[in-house]
Amino acid sequence: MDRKKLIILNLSGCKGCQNQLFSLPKNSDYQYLLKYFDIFFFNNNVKNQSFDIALINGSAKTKRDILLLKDIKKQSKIIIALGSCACSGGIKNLANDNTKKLTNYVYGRKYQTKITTNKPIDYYITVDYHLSGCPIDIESLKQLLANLAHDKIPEETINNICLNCKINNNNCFLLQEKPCLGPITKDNCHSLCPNNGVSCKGCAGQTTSANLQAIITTFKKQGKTKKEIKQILYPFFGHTKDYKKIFPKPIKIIIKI
Amino acid sequence: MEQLVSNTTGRIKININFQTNQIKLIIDENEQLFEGIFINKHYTDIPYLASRICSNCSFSHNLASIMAIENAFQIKINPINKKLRELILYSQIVQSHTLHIYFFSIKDYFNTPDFLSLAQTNPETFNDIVKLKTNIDYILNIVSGGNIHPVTTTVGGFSKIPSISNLKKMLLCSKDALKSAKRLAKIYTCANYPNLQKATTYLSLTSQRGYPIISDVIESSSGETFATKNYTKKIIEHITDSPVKNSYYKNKEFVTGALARLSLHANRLAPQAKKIHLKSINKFSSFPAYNSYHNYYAQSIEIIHFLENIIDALTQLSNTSNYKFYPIKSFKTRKSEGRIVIESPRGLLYHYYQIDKDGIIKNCNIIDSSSQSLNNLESDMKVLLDQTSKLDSTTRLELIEMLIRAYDLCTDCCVH
Repeated sequence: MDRKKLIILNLSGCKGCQNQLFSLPKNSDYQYLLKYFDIFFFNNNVKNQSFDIALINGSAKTKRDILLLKDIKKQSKIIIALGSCACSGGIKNLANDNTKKLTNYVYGRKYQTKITTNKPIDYYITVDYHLSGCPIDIESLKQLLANLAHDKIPEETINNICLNCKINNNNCFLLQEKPCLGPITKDNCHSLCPNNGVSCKGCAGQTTSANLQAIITTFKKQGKTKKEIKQILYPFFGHTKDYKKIFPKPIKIIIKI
Repeated sequence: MEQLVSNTTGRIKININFQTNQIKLIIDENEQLFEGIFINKHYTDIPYLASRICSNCSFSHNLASIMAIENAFQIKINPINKKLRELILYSQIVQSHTLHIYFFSIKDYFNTPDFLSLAQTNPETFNDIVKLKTNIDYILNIVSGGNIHPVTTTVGGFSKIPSISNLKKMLLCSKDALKSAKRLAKIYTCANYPNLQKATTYLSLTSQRGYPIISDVIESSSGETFATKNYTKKIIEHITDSPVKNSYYKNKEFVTGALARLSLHANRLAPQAKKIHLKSINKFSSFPAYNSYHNYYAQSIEIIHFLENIIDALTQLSNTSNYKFYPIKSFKTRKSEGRIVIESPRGLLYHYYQIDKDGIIKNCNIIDSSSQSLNNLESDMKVLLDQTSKLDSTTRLELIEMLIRAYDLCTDCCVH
């Protein structure tokens, strides 16, 4: 049986999600990987080669990123968006709408940036499956690879973080009047952060039944300002239709030096 | 002509003219603007974001941001929590070095095209590499909630700490990892390194005792020491048209990281690492040899050293009678500034924050380790090209790529 040719590409991202492929918990996991996949890196010379599967992590924020995406789309049969940056834009979204101000602050006024607006990869190419998380959960990655090894795509996660929080008897942050995005976030992580005493930041992105307006109302009742609420939601929800409908205007940052 | 360097995790391009011996290195990554993103954020948001500057040094960035903020607010940390943080910083270095020398760049000194092929060709070595990585990932998961980005670390302490039974499990894991690390180190203690001797200034933290990882004093191989508070007076960042800021110390290039630390503090290594090091350097013409290719060797020794440190820390924590969870004490935010320098896998890491009375970040500056060593890499490459003029282009290119890989640059850190 021919192994599937799998290419890994990182655009603008911390590479944490691709590194999960080298964080498998057992030797037998690597043996499985080797049995079914022939792994390549986009950094190495892969021009004119074709691949069965492309795992793309990182978001697209320059022409270089967009060109890399278009190249890999031509070369690959299946495209997987790996991690929150690829799925939603992720943390890098926080530089959107204020890129010039931020560049001035970090590099001075003469610096010419090549960055355009940070976008998830499906803004530029069609994606066959999104595995979100910051970083992705290893068990979810293993499940994805097992599916891909047999020419299948896994089903999207349906339930939100709250289900697992209840199972784990976690203290609910919202009931303590503290912000938490658990109710609107896909449970790709088995409520990792709340299990560890930290509120959910929503890195796995929105469930299909998420009620964004309801969580915004809850945060307002907690005393959060509109600006604070936008900052909480923007990294992992800013690209969604629901968010753009409620908050059509960008977040403005003032930097005084 | 520009070409990508192979087998690096980040995108690094080189433009070489073999006739004129000119070379230009380009970090082909986009600026991340984290220092700008942090402005006007509440201090509680910073550690989560800082961790995501990169995944190789995520724990270092996370803890550096936390400790710099604590420095600003003058928050004292419980000794148990301090020890747990040291455990994370040691584990970070082991994890990062392992990924570099045993996963991504192993082909430079071991006869294999890549790490995964070893599963077939050399299953014992493959097994040791997997054991080393899975054990260190397990430790990071248990102590901090994650193996890539921490979850439980926070300003003031931790949101959760490992149970005593988990401390004991981690102790077993670290001892298992140490056995693998010692076997694997032979790859680098017995390797034949290309000969590139060049006067180099090494910078690292220094302390009264031990191999330093957190300290207020920085030491250079020329003998000078200076305090953390004077860091940006001594290390000057230059802005160019690239997203990477180059750093200079006394107007000259310098190196920080495993080889710098080992060159300055080999006498402070943990016992087993020291024994192996003293035996190995018989093969070198001298040590330090000021040969940047030796960074692989230094990282293989540091993996052993920091695993011994992890074992010591876990043994201490398991035996301490007051090991328990200390909830974070409330404190008042105030207008202040704080800074810290720690040793991250690739060397000195500086975080600085200016905070207002409500805890909002008004100014910040981060100097990562990889960009500090970059100028020295450029000058190393020029010397290498001059010294290899009589060799064919293919060999010269290979030597250049091996040198770049030896530096183990974290490209995401460079463009933070």
